[in-house]
Amino acid sequence: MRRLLTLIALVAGSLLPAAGAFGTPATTAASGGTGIGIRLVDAPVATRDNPRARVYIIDHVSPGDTVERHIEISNDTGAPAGVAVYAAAAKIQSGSFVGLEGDTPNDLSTWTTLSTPRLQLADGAKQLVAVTITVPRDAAPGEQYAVLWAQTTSGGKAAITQVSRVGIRVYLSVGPGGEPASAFTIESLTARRDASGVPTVAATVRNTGGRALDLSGTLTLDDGPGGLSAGPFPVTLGTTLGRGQSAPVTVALDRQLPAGPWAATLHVTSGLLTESAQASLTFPAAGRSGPVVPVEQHASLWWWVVLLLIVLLGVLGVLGAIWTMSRRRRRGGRHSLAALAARPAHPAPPPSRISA
Amino acid sequence: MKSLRIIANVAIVGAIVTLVPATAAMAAGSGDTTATFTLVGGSLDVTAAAGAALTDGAPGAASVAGSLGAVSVSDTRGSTAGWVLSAASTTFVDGAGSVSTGVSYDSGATTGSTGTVTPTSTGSTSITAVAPVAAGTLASGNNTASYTPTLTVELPSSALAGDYTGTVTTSVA
Repeated sequence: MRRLLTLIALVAGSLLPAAGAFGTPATTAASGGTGIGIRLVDAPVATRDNPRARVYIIDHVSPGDTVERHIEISNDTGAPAGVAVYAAAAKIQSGSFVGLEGDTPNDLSTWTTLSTPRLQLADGAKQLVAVTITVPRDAAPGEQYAVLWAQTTSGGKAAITQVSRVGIRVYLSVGPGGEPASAFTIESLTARRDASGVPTVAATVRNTGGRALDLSGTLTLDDGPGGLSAGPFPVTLGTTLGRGQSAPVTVALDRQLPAGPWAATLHVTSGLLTESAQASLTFPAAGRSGPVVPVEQHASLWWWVVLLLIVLLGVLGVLGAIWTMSRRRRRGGRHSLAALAARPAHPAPPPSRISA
Repeated sequence: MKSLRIIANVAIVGAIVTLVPATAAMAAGSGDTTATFTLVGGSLDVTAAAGAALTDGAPGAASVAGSLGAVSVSDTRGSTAGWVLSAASTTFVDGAGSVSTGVSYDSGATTGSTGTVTPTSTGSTSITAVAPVAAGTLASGNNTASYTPTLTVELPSSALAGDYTGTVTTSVA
C-alpha cells in the first residue's frame, strides 16, 4: 500500500510539487555546507583489508541469513531538514552502477528494512540508522544490487521540484557455501590515436568471476625509443562490471609521447584482486592498431598468499600427525597406527578399540 | 601439567577477548555470526537543491529550459571509490494537461573541484529513464566537485500556453 502511495506520489509529483515525492517533508535548501551526507559505520572484520567494503555494503550470505549494518545520516545544509531513508533497486548499466528511479523495488530492496525511514535533522545533526537485510530461506542464488538512499525534496511551488539523494551501494551475493570467487581477465590491449592526435591505450576487461567488480588501475610504458619510460598513467574508470560483462578500459596519454614500440604493462585492481597484462604496443599515425593479445598475465599476489597458506596448513597437519604418532609409539600404544600398519595382512576380526 | 597448560590457554584467550574493542558487535544471523568493526571514514554528501524555474517559452516553442542551480558532491570517505551522479525526471505537465515529450539534462563542465578527482560529464543526456550524467573518476582521498546543470523540456507541437511542472531527481552513489 505504501509503495502504491509512493508511486502515486511520484506520478503526482508533477501535479503536487509542494507535497514532495515520497511525502518527504519539504526542505528549504539553504546555501553553505555540504548538504545531506551518508556514511557506512561498520563493516565485517573478514573484509577489513578490502577497500571496497569500507565504502559499500558487500557481503555473501546463505539463504536464511541476516545482515546487520549501521549507516549515519548527517545534515550540513545550514537549515533543519526532513530526510527520507530507504532502499531501492540498482543495476549495472554500460559500466556504471546506477540506482533506479524513486523506490523501484527488487528482491534485495524488499529484504532490507531500516530502523528509521523518516528523519527530522537539525542543522549539523547526525543520526544512526540500523540496516537489516533478511534473506529468505528460498532466495535464489546470485548477486543483487541496491542502494540505501538518504533523500530530501525541495519545497515551494517552483516549476521544477528537485529531489536530491545520496546513497551507499549494496552488492549482496546469495548462495550456499563460500563466497563465489572474484576474477577478471584482460583480454586485449589496443593502441589508438584519436581524431585530435592524442594517443590512447584501450584494454578489454572481462569479468569471469561470480561477483561484480569496481575497477581501477595504472598503465606503465617501458623500453620505449631510446630506452624511455613513461607512466604510471591512471586508468580512466568509474567502471563497474557485472558478472560476465566486459568493458573497454581506456588510458589517455600525452600527445608528446613517441609512437613506440613500447612494452606496456597494465595493472587493473578491484578490491584485493589485481591482474596484470603486458604487451608490445606501437601507436599508429592515425586510427587504431589491431588488438594485441597480452603476452603475459599473472594472477595477483593474493592467490599466491592463499596457496601458501593452504600449503602451510597441510604441512602443519602432517607434522601434527607425525608428532602424535611418535608420542603414541613412545608410550607403547598398542593401537598406534604404526603398529596397525606393521600387522600382517591376514583376514582378522576388526579390532574392538582403535583410537584414531 | 596438562591442566596448567589449559589454565594458561584460557588466560590468554580471556586476555585477547578483553582486548577486542567494544565496537566489535556480534550480529546473530540464523547461520554463522559475523563480527563487524567500526569504520572511521567520512561521508558522501550532496547539496540539497532548491526548486528551480523554467524559462518562459515562446508560443509554439519546441522546448523550454531551466538552470537547476548548483549541485555539489563532497566525498570525505577517504577512498579511491569515486562516485556516479545520475538523474531521472518525471514528465512535465501543464495545467491544461499537455505532457512533455522528453527531458534532457546537461551537467555541463564542472564549475570547480578540490582534492584528487577527475570530474566527468556525459553532456546532454535524456533522463526520462534514469541515466548517469556525471562521475568523479580517478578519485583518491577526500574530494569535492560542483556542477551547474541545465534541464531542457521538449514540448509537443500541440503544446498549449501554460506553466509546466515536474520533478527531477539527482542521485549520487
